[in-house]
Amino acid sequence: MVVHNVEPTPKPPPARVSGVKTVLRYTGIPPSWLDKRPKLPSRNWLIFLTASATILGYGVYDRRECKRIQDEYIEKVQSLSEDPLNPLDVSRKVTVYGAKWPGDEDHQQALKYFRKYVKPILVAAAVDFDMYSGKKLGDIATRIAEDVRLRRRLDAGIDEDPIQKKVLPTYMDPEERRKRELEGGIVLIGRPTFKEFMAGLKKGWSSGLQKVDGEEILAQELEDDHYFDEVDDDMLAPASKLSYSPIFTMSSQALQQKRATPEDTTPDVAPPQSIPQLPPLLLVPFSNRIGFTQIPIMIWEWFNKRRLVQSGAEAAYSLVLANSRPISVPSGVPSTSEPSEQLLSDSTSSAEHPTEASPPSDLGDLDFDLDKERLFKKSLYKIPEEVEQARKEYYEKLPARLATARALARGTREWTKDEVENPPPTEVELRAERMKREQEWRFNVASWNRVKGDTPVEWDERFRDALRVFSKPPSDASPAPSSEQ
Amino acid sequence: MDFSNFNSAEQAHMTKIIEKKQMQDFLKMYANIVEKCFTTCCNDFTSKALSSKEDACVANCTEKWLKHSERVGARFAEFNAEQASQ
Repeated sequence: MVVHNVEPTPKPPPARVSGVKTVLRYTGIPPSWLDKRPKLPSRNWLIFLTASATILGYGVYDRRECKRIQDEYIEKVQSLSEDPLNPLDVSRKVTVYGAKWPGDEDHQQALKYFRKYVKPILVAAAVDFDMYSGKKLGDIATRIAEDVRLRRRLDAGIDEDPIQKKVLPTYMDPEERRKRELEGGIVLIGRPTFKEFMAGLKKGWSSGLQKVDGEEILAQELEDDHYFDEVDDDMLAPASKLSYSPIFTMSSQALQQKRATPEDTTPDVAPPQSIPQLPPLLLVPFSNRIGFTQIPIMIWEWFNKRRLVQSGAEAAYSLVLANSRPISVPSGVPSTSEPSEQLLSDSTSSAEHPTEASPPSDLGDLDFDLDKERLFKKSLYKIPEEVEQARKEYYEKLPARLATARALARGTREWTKDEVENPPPTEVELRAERMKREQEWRFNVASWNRVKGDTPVEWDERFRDALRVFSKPPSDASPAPSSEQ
Repeated sequence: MDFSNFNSAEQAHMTKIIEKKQMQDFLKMYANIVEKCFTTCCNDFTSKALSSKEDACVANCTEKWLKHSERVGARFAEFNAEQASQ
C-alpha cells in the first residue's frame, strides 16, 4: 500500500521578485528568460568572434585613417582653389611621368598610384596635370630625350611654333611658356621612372639637334652582318647571277628610300656646357610587389594603406606649396658614361643577380627609393641572356628560311601544297622582320640595363645647377593664397 | 573654310550664311542664359518685383556664363590647333 505523505512538504515561500522583473513579468516574455544569467558564448565562438572582429576592426580603422589623412591635407590646400582666374588665364600645370615597373605586365600601376594618392590633393588645390605613362621599359627615356631635343631646337630658333597655335587668343610665346613650366613641376613616380628620366635628360642634353633615325643606324649595322649575303650557288648560271644582284641592291635601296626623311639642314651644334633651369622634380616613392610569394606581404600592405596615403599626400602637399631646394648630390659623383650609346646599345653584360648586400651608397638625392629595387624579380636579371638565346635561335633558323624564300622567288623550285596555302615570308619580309626583332631586342636589353638594380642613376655635373627637388615644407608653413594676375 | 571658294560671289554667299549662323548662335546663347539664370535665381513668386538678391544673382549668372563660354571656346580652339598642327 502506498503511503501518502499526509503532510505534503511545505512549499517554499514564493521567491521575492525584484527590480525590472516586477514590470517585465507582465509583458508576455517567457518567465524563464527573466531568470537567465548572462553567459559567455562557447570557446569556439569566442575564437571566431575575436578573430573576425580584430581583422574587420583593423581594416575599418585603416580606411578611416586613410580618409582622415586625406581630408586633412585637402583642407589645408583647399583655399588655393578659391582664387579667381580670368577666363583666358591658365592654372599651374605639372607633368606626371609613370614608367612601367619592371616585371609588371600592367604599365599603368605607377599612374594608378598617382591617381589614388597624389591627385586628390592636386585637384583640391586646383593644380592641373598631364599624365604620361611608359608602355614599355624605356619609353619615358625616349620621350624625354625627344622633348629636350625639340625644346633645344625651339630655343635655338631653328624650329618655330606652327601658325595655327600662334593665332590663338591663349597663345603664349616660348619665354612665357618656359616661365609657366618653371612654376609647375615634374612628378616622377617610383625609382624606375627617376632612372629613365635622368637617362633621357642626359641623352637629350648630350646629343645633337638633328633627328637621329635609330632605324637607319641599325640598318647600317645590320648590313655588315652577312646573313643576307648572296650564296655562291653552282646551279646559278653566271648571267642570271648578274641579273639577280641588281635585285639585291634595288631592294636595299628601295628600303632606304622609304626611310629617307627630308634633308635636315641643322648645323651640328655641340651640346651646351650649362643647362637652363628645369622645373622642380617631385620624387614620389612607389613600389609594386609582384609574385606569388609576395602575396602575404601584399595582404599586410592592403591593411596598411594609410602609409601610402600619408606619403602620397605629403608629396602632393610639398608640390602645392612649391617648396623646392637644389638637388643635393655629393660632389664626388662621376658623370656616367656616354648616354647616346647606352639608349640603343646592346650591352650584353652577363646576368648579374642583385647583390644581396649592396654597399650603402651615399649619393644624396640620387638614392631616392633605393631600397625598393630589391623588389625586382630575380628572373628579370636573365633578360640579356634570354635575348641572346632568342637571337641565336633566330639566326640559326634564318638561313633555311632565306634559302626557301630565294628559291621560291627565283622559281628554281616548285611550290609545295603547304606553301601555296601558307606562303612563307619573302626576302623583303624577312629583312623587315629581322630589323624589327633586332630593334626590339636591343631596346629591351638597353632599357632593362638602365633600370636594373646595379645600375646607378645617370648623372651629369651640368644637372647640379639645373635641377631642383620639392622638399617637405616646414611644419608651420601654410598655403598663402597666391595673387594670380 | 571661306577661302577655298575663290569665286567672289560664292564668298559673299558664304559670308552671308556665316553671319546668319552667328546671329542664330548669339540669340540661342541669349535664350539659354535667360532660361538658366531664371531657373536658378528666381524661385520666389510672392512678389512681382526683382529683389536685390535676385538682381545680384542674375548679374553673377550672366557674367559667369559668358566667362565660361569664353574659356570653353579657348580650350576648344587650342585643341583644334593641336590637331591641325600634328
